[in-house]
Amino acid sequence: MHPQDLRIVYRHFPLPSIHDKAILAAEAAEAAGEQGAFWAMHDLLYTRYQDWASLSPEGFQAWLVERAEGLGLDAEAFAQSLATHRHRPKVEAALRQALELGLPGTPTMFINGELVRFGPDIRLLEAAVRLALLRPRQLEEPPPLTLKEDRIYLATLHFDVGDVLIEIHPQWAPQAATVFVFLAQNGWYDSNIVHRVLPGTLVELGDPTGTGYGIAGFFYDLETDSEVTFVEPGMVAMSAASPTTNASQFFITLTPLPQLNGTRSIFGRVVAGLEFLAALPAREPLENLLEPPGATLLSISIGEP
Amino acid sequence: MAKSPPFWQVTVGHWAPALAWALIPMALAACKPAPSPTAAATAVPFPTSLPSPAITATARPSILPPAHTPTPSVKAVPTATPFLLPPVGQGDWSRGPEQAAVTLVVYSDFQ
Repeated sequence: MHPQDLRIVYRHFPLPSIHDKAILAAEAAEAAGEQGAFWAMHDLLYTRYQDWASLSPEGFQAWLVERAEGLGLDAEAFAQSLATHRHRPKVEAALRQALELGLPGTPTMFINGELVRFGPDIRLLEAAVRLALLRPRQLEEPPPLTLKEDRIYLATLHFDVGDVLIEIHPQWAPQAATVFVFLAQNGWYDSNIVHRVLPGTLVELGDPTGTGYGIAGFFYDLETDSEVTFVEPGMVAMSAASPTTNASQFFITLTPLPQLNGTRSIFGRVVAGLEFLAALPAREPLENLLEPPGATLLSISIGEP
Repeated sequence: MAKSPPFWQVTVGHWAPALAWALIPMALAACKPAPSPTAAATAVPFPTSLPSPAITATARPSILPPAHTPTPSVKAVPTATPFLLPPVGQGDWSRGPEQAAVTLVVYSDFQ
């Protein structure tokens, strides 16, 4: 995943007190690395873990030498490196360094220098990488108000499953409407998946990462209009960033949701195509992160008033 | 030689899967869906401890009414890491482009 955007750095943190072959495995990776095959050995050690986990250290060493040829290594030189523990000082130095850092255990991971504070779950790692990639695109400030409040704008949301036509009403929530139009015109929403689907209730989108955590970077105050409520399906509103602020994700309702009245900034309503969204299967952004989306918003065209 | 499997696929199976799976519900609890309109209106804890600095750096744009003090309407400051990592250098084993936007440093044990 992310071949252009992701660099992975491996540092040894072998725990000899609980793992009898940890040092030897690290030495084997170094010995393979000496012949340009560090990652091949790294991958072998992980993918074939079940094959060597229960071997004795001597048996493991023999197993490693047997595998060396399969990795295209000079097996004799590899065996020699292991037998003489040529790389042990380097591995032990790495261990000392990891202990001095006070790392809590293995694996400990850092994304752009920041500690990854969750278990090594692939979906959370994927989410963290996507969020890190989003950062350079984020903005500091919401756009200035530019829409005419006495006009209604038409937005066509081009989904892969069909077009959804939305009326944007700046008078209902001027800042929220402006943010939506500004981000739509600048491509922020292009290729966004529908990241949350509560069937029969609502769909949420507007997060380029599809994680449910990605936002354009700025916040602004909640705007509500007591005349405009979640009285019918098809209301379009900003998702809350906090009880009093909005960001850039938005949702479209599939049913009346009066319990949300006064808590979300409604800035538009669907006038056609809601059936495409109503047909989507349930989705939770993080739980289903690696699964294909039910729908993708390809682009938005905004009609001039 | 067969293409090396991606790092994640290789490692995830090995890294204490039980622990990982135990942590997922914790991480996801904050994002628990509201299964019905009624539930959507009930207070769902706003995630105060999110799974990563990358994630804590952004407020959660939840549709679910949060039940905690408001997030300041400024960009959140990423939590400073208490670990002074040596910079990635020539002595490191790395794969992926040097200029990659994201660098993942893994301190790990093969066993």
